[in-house]
Amino acid sequence: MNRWLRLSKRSIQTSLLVQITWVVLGLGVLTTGVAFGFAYAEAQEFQDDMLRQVALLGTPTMNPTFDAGQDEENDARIRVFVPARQNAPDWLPPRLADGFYTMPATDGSTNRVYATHARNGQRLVIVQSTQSRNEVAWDSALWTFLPWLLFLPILLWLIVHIVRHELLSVRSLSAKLDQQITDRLETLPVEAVPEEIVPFVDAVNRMMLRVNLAVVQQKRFIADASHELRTPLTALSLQAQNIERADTIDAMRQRVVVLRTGIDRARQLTSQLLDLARLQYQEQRRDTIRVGELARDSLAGVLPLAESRSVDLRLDLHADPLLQGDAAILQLIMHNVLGNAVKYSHPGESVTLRTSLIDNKVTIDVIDQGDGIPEDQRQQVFQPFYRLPGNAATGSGLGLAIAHEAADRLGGKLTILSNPKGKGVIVRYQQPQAMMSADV
Amino acid sequence: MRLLLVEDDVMIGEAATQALRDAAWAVDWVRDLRNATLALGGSEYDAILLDLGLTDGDGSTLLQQLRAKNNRIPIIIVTARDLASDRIRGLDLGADDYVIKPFDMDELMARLRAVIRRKDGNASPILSNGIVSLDPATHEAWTANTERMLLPAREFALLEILLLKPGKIHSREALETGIYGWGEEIESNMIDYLVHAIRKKLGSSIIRNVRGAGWYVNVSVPNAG
Repeated sequence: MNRWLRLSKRSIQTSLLVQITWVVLGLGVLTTGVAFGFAYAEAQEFQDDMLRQVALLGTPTMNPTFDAGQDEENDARIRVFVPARQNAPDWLPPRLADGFYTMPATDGSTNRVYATHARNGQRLVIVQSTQSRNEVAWDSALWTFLPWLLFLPILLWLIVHIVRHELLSVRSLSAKLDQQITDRLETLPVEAVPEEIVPFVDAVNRMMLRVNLAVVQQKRFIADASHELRTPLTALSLQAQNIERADTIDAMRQRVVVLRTGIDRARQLTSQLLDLARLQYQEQRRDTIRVGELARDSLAGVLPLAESRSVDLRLDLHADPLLQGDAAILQLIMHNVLGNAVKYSHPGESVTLRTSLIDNKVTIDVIDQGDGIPEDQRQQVFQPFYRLPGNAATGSGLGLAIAHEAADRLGGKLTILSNPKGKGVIVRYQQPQAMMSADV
Repeated sequence: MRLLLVEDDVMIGEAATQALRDAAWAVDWVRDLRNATLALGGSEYDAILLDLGLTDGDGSTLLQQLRAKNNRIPIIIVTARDLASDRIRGLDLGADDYVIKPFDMDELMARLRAVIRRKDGNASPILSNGIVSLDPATHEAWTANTERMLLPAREFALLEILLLKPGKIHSREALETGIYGWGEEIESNMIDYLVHAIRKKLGSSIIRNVRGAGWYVNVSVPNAG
């Protein structure tokens, strides 16, 4: 039972067959019932009319009883009694008012009784068994049910046939899907598909395009990452070898310091790659973030780098709004954008972190006075490992890519604008404000 | 031997320069194509170590330009691109060798010696004029009358330059450029000091001097050394 239910739930064909069988049978029974009712009423009326006519014909000179038919089984005999002259059956009440009656006989059968007066004033009682009437009604009702029963298998066969035929195209689609190679998905054709399934196929196709894009990006990233991992490794192996070759302890000490910077760089690249991977796979928390507080923490984080490069840090809180999202991810955006700005600033220049509300969106700007980014490269710098041509500083080329990916995750947007005060750029993060507002 | 190192990564550039200088190579290091072209216009190099992914273009353009001008300078591509198609393309464009990062410095130097040797038409890895012999791989020198002995880096570098072209007179400046890379402080009379030290170890007639013109070693003598 359980299995059958599950089957009927999953298969369109089975569920159509089961439901339509029930509907057809139900309708058949209903029609049969109605037909029976009508036929019964009709037969009743017709036979009452017959009794009435027999009464009109009936005369005192007639035989006390006569048979209306010879059929014993149907027992459709109509009997006429004249109570004044002869003995009526004992179940018949001696005094009956004129009219029709249905009453049981002593042998258990039911009879239709018509009491009337003949034209000469003689009293007549006409009796007929009701059994035959019921049989007539039943027969006519059964004849209405029969076509339904014949009709059912034809209908079921038609449904199976149509469903099979219409689902053929779906079957061929699924065969095509099965043959697909996962790293290069081809979209499914919609021409041969039933109209009802087209939106579904369209949705599958759109998903495939998204998957393809993601696969291409992923492949490029892996190729780039393996390439980029070689650079710090090469530096490390050379630096280690140089320590071996040092003639004096002092030279060796100096070369160990160099090796340390190499190790730092490799560590930074590794942790940035991990940041990127985590962004893509880790589940997000939903914190309520106080932007001002987070801005202060982020500035504190890049303070050592800024001091070592003599870059001036400033905070400009125009608003202290609240944001919904993962605080660690927003921190990642700020850290990378700020770090980038400080790294590419010249000594004596300043980097400003400014928060404000623009068009009801929380806006976090990191404003620098550096060499700027040409307008045609402001999208490219968000690509992993992209470095500006002629760029002297050593970076992994991942900072802005991480920030961009993180912004996507948070549901915000990271853009690069020209600094209206001339030099440098503004890296702007915008996200709709959280519902509640904070006191400044 | 003077090398041009074209490498955009600061750490690799610094460390590679250090390692090569330790091994008595004179190294000039540039970080992009523009400066590589400038350097090549300004001085003679014995070989180029060429990175491909540079900030102002691809190293292979420099390779193509040099080969188009029929410049036969040995060039080794040193890159992180490890696809077979990249290697094939690099070699077909005229590179003498192709080394993939991260590389072993000893191997890279062996390859450098090999490409330079081949360019000069020498099959043997030992440099010799029949009187004095020098093994560039071990920095050892010897004559018929002396044991093999290890030469300090600068002495080795000087003798190597002389032995690569026996009979050719090298000026003081030429020898200095062959020994010192950019940024290395040239000590005055260093050449005189080095020549004196070599003569003391291997014999006074090993290196000859033409007053005012420079130094040379004798042309190869068969059946000797």
